[in-house]
Amino acid sequence: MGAGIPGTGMATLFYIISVFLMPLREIVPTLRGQSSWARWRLIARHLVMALAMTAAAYGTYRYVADEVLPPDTTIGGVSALAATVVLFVVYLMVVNLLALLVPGKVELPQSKAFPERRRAVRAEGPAPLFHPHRGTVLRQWVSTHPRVGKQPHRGTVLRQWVSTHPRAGKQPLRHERESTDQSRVQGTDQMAGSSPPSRQ
Amino acid sequence: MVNVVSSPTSDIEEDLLYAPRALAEADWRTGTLTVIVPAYNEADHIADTVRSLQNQTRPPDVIIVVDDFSDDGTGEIAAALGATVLRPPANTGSKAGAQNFALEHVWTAFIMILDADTTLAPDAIEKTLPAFEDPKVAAACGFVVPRHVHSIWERGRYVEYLFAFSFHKQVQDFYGRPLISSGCFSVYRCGPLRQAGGWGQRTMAEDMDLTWTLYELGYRVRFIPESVSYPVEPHDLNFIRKQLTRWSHAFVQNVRVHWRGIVRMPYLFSAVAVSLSDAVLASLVFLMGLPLLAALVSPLFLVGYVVDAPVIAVPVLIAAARRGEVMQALTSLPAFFVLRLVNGYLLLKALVLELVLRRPLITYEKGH
Repeated sequence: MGAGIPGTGMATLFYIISVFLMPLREIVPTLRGQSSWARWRLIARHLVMALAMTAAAYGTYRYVADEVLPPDTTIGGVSALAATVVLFVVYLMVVNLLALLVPGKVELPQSKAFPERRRAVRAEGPAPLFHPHRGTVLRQWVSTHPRVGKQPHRGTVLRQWVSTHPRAGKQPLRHERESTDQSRVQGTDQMAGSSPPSRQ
Repeated sequence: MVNVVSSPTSDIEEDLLYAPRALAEADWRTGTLTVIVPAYNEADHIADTVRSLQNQTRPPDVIIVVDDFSDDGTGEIAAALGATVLRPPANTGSKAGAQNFALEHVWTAFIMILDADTTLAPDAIEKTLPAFEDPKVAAACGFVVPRHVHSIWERGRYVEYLFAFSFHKQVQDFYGRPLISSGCFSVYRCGPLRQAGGWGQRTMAEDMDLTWTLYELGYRVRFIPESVSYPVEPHDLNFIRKQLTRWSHAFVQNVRVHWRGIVRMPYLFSAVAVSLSDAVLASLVFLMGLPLLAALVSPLFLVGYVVDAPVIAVPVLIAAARRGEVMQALTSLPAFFVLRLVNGYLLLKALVLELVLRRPLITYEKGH
């Protein structure tokens, strides 16, 4: 599976910056004798690719800027392109600094954070994205969520997002639950005086 | 109850069910490998998949096809080709469920997951296993290229994969944090996989969930670009919508489940933060910003939909040139921007549903 939207601006910029930082990151392993020619070849190949992508971006920017944007577009006195890169790097630094504020204790989520799913709905025949007689696209989309506007106040979106699911870390996994149930049943049977299950 | 429909040898069933073996620290040169192929109504593809496994330069020791209650004879076809076919008592409801069902019957040191509609290059396993030279490596995945490149959606996916697997994923691997060990083709060390509890069913993407869980447990994940697999990708809007809806919700769900765990992994955290920011900003720009600017300021703003085409084209054409497919890549490039627009809409919708309306996707819909 993929994550996010491939090929959009921020992600591409992030990986281009990552490539330009590759040689710096490889210096220490090289000095320790832990690097290899293969890794440096990979770095060189990606540097060439990143430089070509940067040149393509700059060329496109110059052309599009001349055609679409007002001439000499600047942000804060510097060119829009440079300002964009600087803002993006600042954004990354802020995000990572904020991450340092998160409590250090990390617990692996061991339970289902979401409700038990129903039986799979498998591939069926093609269905229309939206029914033609149910109003506008927006109306249909909103109408599919009957809880819109009816939920009691549960804090800000950020607070909801930050708060973990109340059942996280407390529910046993399915097979654990089944084994517990089984042992409970067996224990109950034995307490009731019934004979233990025999092997046949 | 396990229904073993077919087994290639008389004692394999007993081996699968009862044999205790050393699992965790096996050497990749001598370690045994089981391939699990979860399948539901894959009669059209399962034969190609099993044959591609049998024709590997390093063939797997056991091939298990989990016939997840198919009604099109998938299990019978796989059995006729010599694969061990397991059939759960009822449909497991998801790919993760089928894989976990088979995991209980695996005794080998390594496990490979292969989608039932995915074939492998003949040397895929041989090139993947050396990644396990490092004992901390728990999973390895390879390059993915769509098997069929005909419809607009398959072409869009073809460009997307060339771009992502020849650029993003290799950079992620350099920094030791591939975002996902692809669910369509991955090899796992059995010990860490069991330690992680198998494939999680708490989100819609068991591959991302497992990858991030392995990171949280201190293991490494590798991407091996030389190891190539060929899945069948969605060929029409209905299937691509189902798949992208599931992927989009799954991404948000995994961020919700794992954010505390990944926050201490700066590169992974940055990549996820960028992807999420992109999901919001790029989607809003595509769906609202550009149309409004085009309508109110200048139609030239519509160029914004394809303004980054030269940037995208660089890694795509480099990867395509290596495969001798430059013309196919060039003719497919426009489809990528259509797919990206659909992806942006579905990702924004998933963000709103999951985080704002608190309506998580809980039904696994097969998209291919």
